Amino acid sequence: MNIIFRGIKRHIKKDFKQVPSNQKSKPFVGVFTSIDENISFIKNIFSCSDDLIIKELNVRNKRGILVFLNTMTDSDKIQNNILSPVLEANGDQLDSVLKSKFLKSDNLIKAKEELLNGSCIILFDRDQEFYRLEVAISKARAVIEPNNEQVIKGSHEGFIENLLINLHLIRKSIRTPDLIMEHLSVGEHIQSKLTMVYMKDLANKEIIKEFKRRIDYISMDHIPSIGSLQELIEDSTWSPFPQILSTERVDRVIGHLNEGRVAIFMEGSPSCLLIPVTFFAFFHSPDDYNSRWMIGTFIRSMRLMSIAIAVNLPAIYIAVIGFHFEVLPDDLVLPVVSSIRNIPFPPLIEALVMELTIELIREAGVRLPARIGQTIGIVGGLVIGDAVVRAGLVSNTMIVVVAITAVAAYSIPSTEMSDAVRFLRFPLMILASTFGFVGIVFGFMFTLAHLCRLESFGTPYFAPWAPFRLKDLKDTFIRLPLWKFNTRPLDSNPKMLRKQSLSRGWKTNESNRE
Amino acid sequence: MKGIKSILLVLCFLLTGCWDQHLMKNAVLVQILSFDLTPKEELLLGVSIPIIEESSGGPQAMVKSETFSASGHTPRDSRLKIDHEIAGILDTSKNKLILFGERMAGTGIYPSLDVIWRDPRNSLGATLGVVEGEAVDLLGIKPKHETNVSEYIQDALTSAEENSVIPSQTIQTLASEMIDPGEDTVLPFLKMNKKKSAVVVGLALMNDKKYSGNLPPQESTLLLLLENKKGKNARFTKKVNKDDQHVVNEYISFNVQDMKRKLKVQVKDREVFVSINLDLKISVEEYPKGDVPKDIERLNKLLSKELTEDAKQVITKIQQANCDAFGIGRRLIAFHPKTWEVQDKKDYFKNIKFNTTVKAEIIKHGIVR
Repeated sequence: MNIIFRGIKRHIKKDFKQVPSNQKSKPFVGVFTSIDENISFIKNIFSCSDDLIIKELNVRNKRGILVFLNTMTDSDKIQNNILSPVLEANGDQLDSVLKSKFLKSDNLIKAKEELLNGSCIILFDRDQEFYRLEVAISKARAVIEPNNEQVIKGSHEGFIENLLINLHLIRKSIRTPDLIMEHLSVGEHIQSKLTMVYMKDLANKEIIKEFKRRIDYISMDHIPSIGSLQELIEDSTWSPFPQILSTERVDRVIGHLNEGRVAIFMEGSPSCLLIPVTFFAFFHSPDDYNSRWMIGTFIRSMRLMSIAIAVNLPAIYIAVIGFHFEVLPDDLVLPVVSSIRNIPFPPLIEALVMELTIELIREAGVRLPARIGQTIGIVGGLVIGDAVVRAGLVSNTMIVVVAITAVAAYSIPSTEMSDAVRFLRFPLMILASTFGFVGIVFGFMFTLAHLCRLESFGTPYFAPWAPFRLKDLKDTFIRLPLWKFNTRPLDSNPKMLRKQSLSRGWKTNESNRE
Repeated sequence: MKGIKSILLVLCFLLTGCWDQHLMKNAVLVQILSFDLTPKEELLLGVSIPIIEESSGGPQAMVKSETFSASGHTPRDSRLKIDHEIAGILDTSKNKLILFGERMAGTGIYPSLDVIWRDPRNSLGATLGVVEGEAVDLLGIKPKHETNVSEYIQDALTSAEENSVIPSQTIQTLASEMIDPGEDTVLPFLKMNKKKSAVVVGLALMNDKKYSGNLPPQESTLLLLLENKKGKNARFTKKVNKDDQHVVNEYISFNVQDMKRKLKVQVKDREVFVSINLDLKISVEEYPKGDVPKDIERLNKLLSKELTEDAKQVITKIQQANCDAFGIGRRLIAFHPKTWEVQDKKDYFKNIKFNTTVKAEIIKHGIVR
């Protein structure tokens, strides 16, 4: 109740919020005429940090300085790209070298930002401008398949912590001028680079506008990670369901870009956020499209069934043995009775203990090195699973139920959705233990109503179920053959709905050829 | 303070449901109920409950059954007495069988079933049966191959249902038939065999709600065919040849493959005539003498004649028992209400004139001649 109330209060507050804070104009400090003034200004900005290197550079009796942060720059690059051409240039060549290799600017605040990004700056005496060149160290790890989203067939590329390489991976796969990349920055004190990627001819303008509006409101000192960004721009944080899809797979992002969605990258983060998404996007995997469509359909429907199992099965079991065991088939009654007869706890406690144990085993295993992880698996799985039954604390059937539930929950491809589903079964279990099936029905109704009400950047979250669109079901519960997907799904409001026409036209035209 | 209040509110809301909790581990499941009359004309209720024996390490626990009984004025009264005797709460929601002793059934079965329809926790999927002698004795049998008595009797009834010895019915389906004045029910008739096994020995015929006679298996199958309630199989064995060297060669066994029944109710001068035409397509399963095709004409004729005679006998029997298994009364109420009004509501069935013909035709005789 309290939660709902607070949620409502929050909504009311949102409407009265004032203008965004960080839309102030960029400060400007011109380059000083005297080089010493410039040096002291820069030194002042960086508080004489020890990695700020200022070198005197005298070219043809013209006094100049070379400024860079040696923690951000590559000394080889400085030597090859700056020092040798500048020093070797004789006569009038210097000007042309400077003009061709360097970028010019006259704002010292800009100079500060560039230094932080790994640029090197050259200032000459009595010049109102400075020259800069990026010589940053690039220490990127290899592009490998992300561990948390592996596929059997298809591309094995994944994003890494380097923004530029991530964008390169996207641009490389979508070679069209329609692909737009927009750089943004967030964070009041420490700025983080964001890049928004979308297809100009597909992505809905409203969504782009809405995203920028939300970004403008962020007035945090520092955005630590893309997860925090997600929380700041998400529609409803009072929901267990994620409304933004985050992925580390290149092919997944490309697929979504082609459906008119917007991707957001952040410097230093290997995941990419996709907006707007639907509930069902979390159950798709690139494997669905790379395997044959019948198998894809089968596996996808299994996955959707697994949510139902993961959310409901423990609750149903509790309701059955606590309230209405007459629903059990005749032949099942005695085996169940014989296993639960001597259990000292009520079903809810029994189920909670086992479910929480599984969560703990998972949590313990996540952060351990692989070798110790095996030990946890053995201790958790075998020792607890078997011993707890032999000790008569938990019934055999409960172990079966908990195990099926765990397997079902982990078969959901997205970790966030899997977390949401695993979390959701606890309230349902409590409802089942106090109200039986009635409680489950109410809990389920509440969840469904919540899902129908949720929005992701102004688009319905539970599409294509609510609002219902039969055409889009082709690619949600099932996956029909690719040549059937003639239109894009409507939920992301793409500008162009048509995707293809008669991709297998060769079959009907076969007779014409002869 | 605010937090405590909201937690209390949530708890008040959630814990209301616990009142209805009905834990399975505390329940003692009843698998068979039996009703008998004691010599003092009191009701003797017998229950059979499963006893689960923990097998050491084996996957399946052994299930035996134990019988408790108590006498009282009503079923609930007796049940309360049994409840005092056993550990746990008696629960009839998974009950599979309700058995009546012959004497109890003779005085009427409806009063003891009242509680089963009234209390929603009772199982409506249970099967009814009448037992020769005392029903409670049948609960104590010790069959060798199946230690759980209810499972055993249940299986016996299922196989009898498949072989069209008894109709497939539950208390739910019987309820409307039982209270209908124009229709009577037939129930499985069981017999105890040397304290070891139970045998389905045909059908118990009910006159309204009272037991009034029984039919042996072959006749009960024929009755079910006449009622158009054939199960999976309907097998007969008939004597068709005379004075053969081997006695086996005198007989033929056949199964009814397909059937058509026509039942017509006609009223002439307030007299009710019923004609039943049964058209059986049969397949020969056993004919030790051999060469069915040669004999086919004769067999068809002979079997038709024999079955017609049998059918007539069956009808005489059910008329004697005054058991309107065909629901002729219902038809009269529906189509001839005026005739029904002048009929004797109790004994109308005895006065109905039946004209029964059975036609048998061999359509299969297996892969030998």
